[in-house]
Amino acid sequence: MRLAFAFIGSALLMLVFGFGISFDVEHVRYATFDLDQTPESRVYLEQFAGAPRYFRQMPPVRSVEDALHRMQSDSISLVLEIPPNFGRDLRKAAIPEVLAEADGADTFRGETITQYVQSVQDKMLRDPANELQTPPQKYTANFQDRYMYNPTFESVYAMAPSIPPILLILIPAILMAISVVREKELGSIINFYVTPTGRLEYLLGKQLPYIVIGMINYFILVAMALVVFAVPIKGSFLVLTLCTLLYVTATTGVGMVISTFTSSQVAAVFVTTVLTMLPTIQFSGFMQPVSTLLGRAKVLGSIWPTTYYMHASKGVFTKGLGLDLWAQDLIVLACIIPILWAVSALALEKQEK
Amino acid sequence: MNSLLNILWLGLKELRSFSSDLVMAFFVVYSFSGAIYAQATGTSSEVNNASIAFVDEDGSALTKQLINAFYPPRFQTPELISASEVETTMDQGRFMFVVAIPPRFEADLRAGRHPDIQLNIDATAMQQASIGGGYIKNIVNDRISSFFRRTDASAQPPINLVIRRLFNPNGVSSWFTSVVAIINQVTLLTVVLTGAAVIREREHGTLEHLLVMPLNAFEIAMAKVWANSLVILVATGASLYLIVMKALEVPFAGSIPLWFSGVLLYLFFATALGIFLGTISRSMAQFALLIIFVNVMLQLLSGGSTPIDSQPVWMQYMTFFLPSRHFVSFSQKIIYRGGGIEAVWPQFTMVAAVGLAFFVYSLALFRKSIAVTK
Repeated sequence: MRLAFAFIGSALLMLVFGFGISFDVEHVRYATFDLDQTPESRVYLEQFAGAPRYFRQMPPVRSVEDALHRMQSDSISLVLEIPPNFGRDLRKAAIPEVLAEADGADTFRGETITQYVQSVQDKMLRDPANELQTPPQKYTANFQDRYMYNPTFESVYAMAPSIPPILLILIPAILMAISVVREKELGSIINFYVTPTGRLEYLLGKQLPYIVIGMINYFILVAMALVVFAVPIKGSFLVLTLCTLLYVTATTGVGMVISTFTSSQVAAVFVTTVLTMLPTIQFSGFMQPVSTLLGRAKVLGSIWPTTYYMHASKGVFTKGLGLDLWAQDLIVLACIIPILWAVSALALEKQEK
Repeated sequence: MNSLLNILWLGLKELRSFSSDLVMAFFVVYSFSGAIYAQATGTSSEVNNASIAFVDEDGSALTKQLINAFYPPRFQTPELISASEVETTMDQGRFMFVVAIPPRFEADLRAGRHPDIQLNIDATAMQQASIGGGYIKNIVNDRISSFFRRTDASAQPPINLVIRRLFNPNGVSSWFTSVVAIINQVTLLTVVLTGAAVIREREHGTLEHLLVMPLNAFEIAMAKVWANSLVILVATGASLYLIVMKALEVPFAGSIPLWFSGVLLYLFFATALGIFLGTISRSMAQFALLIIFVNVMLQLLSGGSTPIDSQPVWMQYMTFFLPSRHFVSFSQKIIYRGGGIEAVWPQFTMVAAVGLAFFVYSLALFRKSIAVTK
């Protein structure tokens, strides 16, 4: 029952995130504030309406207060203000100014919007047929963007390989921690105290079933990536499976360490979620590359097993990397395991205090 | 009146049992201090320390200037590589961006042509890839135009586009991430604390103790709501003041009492959700799995990690029922945009409505499960 639950739950999350999470900023709601009302100002503003994938026009703004008010209530995210005499200045080549005010409350979105605005204007000025009667701009280079490993720049290619690393730490770690602490709480750990079972024997015996569960979960998630999301595995499936085996051993090990210093199931759930959620989602290369993290986040990120598995997973799925490139992930993951074993074996009490 | 007193005393009992668990208390403090600080200062959607390399097949004075235009902290000092190394170095993940400048680049520009620059982007890091790509284009075109302006005044664009970012003029991403971090911790801790309080009573059999006393399900549930809300509310307040406003110096544009009223509504929802999860799960392991699924969902789809507008439309209809989405939304409106009650009432209503629905439903469930125990 619990097993079925874990599998269905992770499959469901994979579906939701695979389809639902996207970093593409599209259909930005904007309004114009045209104080000039000349043919030139209209031509300029029309360029934005001509990019419906990125911009969606809302009713024009009437005053500065109106603009601020609508920005505050989030009904628009961008105001394009054309100053008076824009058309005249443009004809006289007096370099008129256009003011673009973007909502910066969400920094990523704000930044992306400003870049869209800039690129619409750049494109317009370079176009000889832009009807603005300006000479086409000199001295600009064209950029040929080449998005490696994700040619169409779709979020699903980045998402599908990133979700298994997240689920394969959160679930095995917490189940493992609970299973040990549960024995402590119910008292059945007495079997371990009174028999000559070694510490490592006991812990490995507890760990094994959860490694198996983790591996089954992995096969389900990979099958979904292939079938539902049609994200191909470019690299070697065998290598990824090997990495997963090490990773799941390490993540159950994390749960094992936590179980040694918690004495109630409530505390185990609490401590495991608090400790694993943040580094897994924020510092493991899911949201941003670990190399661009700063300070303690970077330190945490570089010791967290998810970082290495995330790299291997993205690498095998999208890049099809060769041996020399994923070997590092494999070695690091393999090194983490004995450390976790040692820590938990030392911290596990053979006698009740 | 009597009922109110019962709720009060039961709540005090909750607080006492919480404060006797030192490990839990320690982790609550950590979640609202160290965890938030590390996330706000460590992660950013801005491009930071991005690795970049150039393939310079032109070798002119202009390309030298272009390469020098990239420097820390935003970019690592650029490296020069040859055209044949592009693929392998990017496969290794050594560079996020590789800019390839063709031969005769400067000469072509001087002749009024628009030569092509190839920009290779490692698109597995979506956020940084798109923003960083934009930066590189702007920096390169800026430099080119200032390079030629020395000899030719018409190099200036005919329209000067002034871009302003409202509510966060310098685009400091810790402003946003710190508040999102608080929101995530509030959700996580409240649900775990309340749900665990329900399960613990059941597993330890202390629920029976309560049931032989003249108390009803509503009083027991309500006591859990207020006691756990209080713990989180105090922690949130301290975190907002000490970490966000003092240590990270995030300005608070709107009204603080208004934001806290919103937090209260949200806590009502989160505690109700906790009771709900605690009641429906039969064991701690089930509860733990539910907590993980629900929390990952509430966190990643709230608009704090990726913009709501980027979700597909059908998903936006679904997430409309997630109170965490409205929490992020009204926090943005109040804290950064300085919006008043007239801007946030729809979000407040939605959070309260979902919270109430959960509370009523889980109360009924709770009552039923108690009746079974009886």
